[in-house]
Amino acid sequence: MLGERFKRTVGIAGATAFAMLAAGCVTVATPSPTGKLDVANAAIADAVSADASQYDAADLDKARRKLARAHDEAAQGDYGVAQDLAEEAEVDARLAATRARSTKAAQAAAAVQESIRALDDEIARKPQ
Amino acid sequence: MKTWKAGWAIVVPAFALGACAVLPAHDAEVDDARAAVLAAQNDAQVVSLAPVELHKAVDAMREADAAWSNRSSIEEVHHLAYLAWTHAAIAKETARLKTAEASVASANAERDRVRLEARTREAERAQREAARAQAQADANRANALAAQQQAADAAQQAQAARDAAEASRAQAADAQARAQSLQSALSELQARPTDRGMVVTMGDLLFDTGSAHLNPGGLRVVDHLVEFMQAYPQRRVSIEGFTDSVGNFAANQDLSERRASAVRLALIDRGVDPARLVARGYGEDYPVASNTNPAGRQLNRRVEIVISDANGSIASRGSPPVANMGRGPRG
Repeated sequence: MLGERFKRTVGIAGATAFAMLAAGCVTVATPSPTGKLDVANAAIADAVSADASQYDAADLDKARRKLARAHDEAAQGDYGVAQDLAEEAEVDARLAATRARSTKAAQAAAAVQESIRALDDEIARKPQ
Repeated sequence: MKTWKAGWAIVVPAFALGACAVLPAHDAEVDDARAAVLAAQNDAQVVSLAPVELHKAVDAMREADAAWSNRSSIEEVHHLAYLAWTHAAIAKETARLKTAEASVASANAERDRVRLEARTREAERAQREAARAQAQADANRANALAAQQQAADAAQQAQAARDAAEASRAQAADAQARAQSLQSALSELQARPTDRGMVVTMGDLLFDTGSAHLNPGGLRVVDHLVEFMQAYPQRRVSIEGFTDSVGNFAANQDLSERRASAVRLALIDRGVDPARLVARGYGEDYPVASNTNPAGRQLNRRVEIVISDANGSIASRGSPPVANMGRGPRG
């Protein structure tokens, strides 16, 4: 999809290069970041479902702030900045989700180990 | 991103060297990202457990390096470096997640093993307790049998004791019966107690007049005496004859001796051992009543039979001495 846009962009650029340069219209090469925004939004939703607000609130907040800013930039037509912010919001959200999941898994592992220890103690207390 | 770069590549010649000419040799954020990615690459767990995430981090780092080399805008370089650093962090967290999940899985397996072991031990313990209870029950049964045996023995002993008591009672009854029999035999003979023991008196009327011949009444008394002597073999008797003072002294002595002797012979005739019998005549001596009237004289004409004690001994007559078989002093 991007490839198609790229080719079209090259074609347009090749035909009207000097006219465009004269106009100073650099950002015409950057398409709308709607897809990136959607991806970041989904990543944040996944992080929330992974309880990131409890286990990694800092990264989740960072992702939300960046996504909000990306929307603002996109609304102002600054697609390049909006896309970068959306990309960063996505990886921030994915880090928050993964960290939340790994923290919970570590806690679960500790809990199971504890239950084994309790079981061992109970067995040791019983007469043979 | 490629689009962005492609666009950048297109506009580079147009902008020439204008805006992006001066860049430092190193950038701290790029260096941080590179260090994070390198650390992830050197982490064996990340390499084995999070290869996809690590690959993304490496790719992002390569793009950041390329952007740096191509002298892209510092914002773009920092953006790419940030992506690389974050991907490295995600890779690290992913490895941590996988490790923890594996730990949970193995710990669950371990817990199942421990539980199974506990249940097995519990079952073994229950089996041991059941065996112990069985042994106890067997021992109780054995004890009960022993107790039953003891009870049976005790019952047998009690029966034996009852039998012994019964035998004692029978013996006592027998002894009492014998005593009663002796008593009744003696009363049949109209025996009376004296200092020398029981004495049976055969009166004058039991003999023919002036004779030593026993009439039927006398013989009945003799029969009773025989029964008595047979029932009590330890007893001996002293048969003593007396007369009144009428008539010749020597004739009286003779009659008393003959009458005593007649009784003795009658007893011997009926089977009594002679060794158990002593007969004597005392003539006119030892009168029991006055000789001055007929009733008194009749009482004096008599034979006394003195019965020994259970040992066979008889107290001797006081005066005249028993040894004096001849004439005593005249009374």
